[in-house]
Amino acid sequence: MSERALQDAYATLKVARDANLATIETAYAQHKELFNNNSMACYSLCSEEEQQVSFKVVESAHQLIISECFSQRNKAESEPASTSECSIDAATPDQGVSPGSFLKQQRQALDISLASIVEQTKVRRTILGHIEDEVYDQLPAPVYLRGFIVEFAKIVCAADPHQIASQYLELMRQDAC
Amino acid sequence: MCTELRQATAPQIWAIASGKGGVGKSVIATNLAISLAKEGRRCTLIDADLGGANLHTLLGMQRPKRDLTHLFTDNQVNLQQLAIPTGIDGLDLVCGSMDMLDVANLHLAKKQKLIRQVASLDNEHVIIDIGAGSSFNSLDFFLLGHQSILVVLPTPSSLENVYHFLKAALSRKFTQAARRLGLSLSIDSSALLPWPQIEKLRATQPLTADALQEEVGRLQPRIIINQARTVEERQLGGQIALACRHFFNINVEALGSIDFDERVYTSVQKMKPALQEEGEFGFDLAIHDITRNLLDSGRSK
Ligand SMILES: Nc1ncnc2c1ncn2[C@@H]1O[C@H](COP(=O)(O)OP(=O)(O)OP(=O)(O)O)[C@@H](O)[C@H]1O
Ligand SMILES: [Mg+2]
Repeated sequence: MSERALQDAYATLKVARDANLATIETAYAQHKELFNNNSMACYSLCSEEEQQVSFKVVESAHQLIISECFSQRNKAESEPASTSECSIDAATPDQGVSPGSFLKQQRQALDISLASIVEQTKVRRTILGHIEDEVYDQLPAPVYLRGFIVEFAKIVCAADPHQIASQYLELMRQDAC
Repeated sequence: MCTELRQATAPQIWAIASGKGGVGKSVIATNLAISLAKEGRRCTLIDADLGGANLHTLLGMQRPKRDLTHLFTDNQVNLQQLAIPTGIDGLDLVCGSMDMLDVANLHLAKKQKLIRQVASLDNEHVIIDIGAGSSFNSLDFFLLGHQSILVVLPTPSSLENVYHFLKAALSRKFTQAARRLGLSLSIDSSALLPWPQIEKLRATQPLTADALQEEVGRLQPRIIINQARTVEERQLGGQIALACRHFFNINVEALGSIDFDERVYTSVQKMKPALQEEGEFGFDLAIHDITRNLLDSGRSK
């Protein structure tokens, strides 16, 4: 991924290079709204076609930033210094327990508050709550939901955070069908 | 504060414009001024809607004998002498002119006299109600403000006018800043932004270009959404700010929104400002919030 393209992507969403996911998400949502078909704020500033182009530019900028964020995290993960934050045994969900319930049960078993997860992941509390309760229609797009779940799962010592995230997204996809 | 010891300092100026007429500038200017007065601050309200002055009516006052006309026709008169008490503690009013039709096309020297005297008024706060449209008069009063405020209705035509006004203000600011730096630059078309010219200048005079960019960038207009009826309309200010960053490359801040409220209409009919009525309503709270936001952002400057 070219550095120049990444710079442009951050400039498009008007966020700083070190912005956290929540900030990026908010900026993305605002820009999408701005370039939406019937956004009034764009009236007289650009044509409908230009608006559609800008919408697409915002979409791809966001994609780029998000995938960059996660590849950074994965890199950090594979370095030995930061193997696991957990000193206790890693857990896997029992048969029949959905990934959302697993995250919640595991968090409660370890006596970790939602606030503390908010602190560590910088993901908004309502979103974390929706992840636990599997309120699919209130969750953000899968591209960053995956990252949120992986982070969450790591903090609650899941044996395979990526596996949890994949299961979660799979169930969510099935639910939408 | 002790009056005798008080140093005469320049007042904080809030200039209120709109591009489009009839959007609520005068109602908002009047009630912001009352809100300041209620906080124990002293404020002079100036009716600079030359040709359409009506603030005295909104305040339920008799048409005064002295108004801005006298500043332009009589060399002995200064602005301070034209400020008359409104009956509200801490609030004075300088009435706009109604008789002189050509006041709307103010002669340059007269406009400069007015601008100088506004900036040196002996008061804490000055609020200027500016006439609709983007004439040079309106733009110059707008740029005079420490806070340049635009009132916007959530309608396409109001937005179109506001964006036009903003571009014109930006271009005017550019010309003024360039002149101050000894350059004779201007923008030929109201459709153009100053940034390309500044970039061109950068090739030969990088320091001057920086100074110019800095000065033009100081124009950071504030937006008030008036007569909102839905949640989306209340949030339009933030979207406008984003659009201005994107299309004009300027920083605009949303100050808040005011709902459509029959009480505002009634208060205008009764010639008694809404903030002077008994009880507190949504309108009053919105005005207080906006006042707070303005005071806060004035402090951080
Ligand atoms: N928030 C509001 N809710 C309901 N009515 C409002 C509101 N704000 C303004 N109005 C109505 O709009 C009318 C016009 O307001 P106002 O005179 O302040 O506009 P203006 O921008 O100063 O107009 P002009 O350009 O003619 O000077 C008022 O008489 C009032 O009835
Ligand atoms: Mg008016």
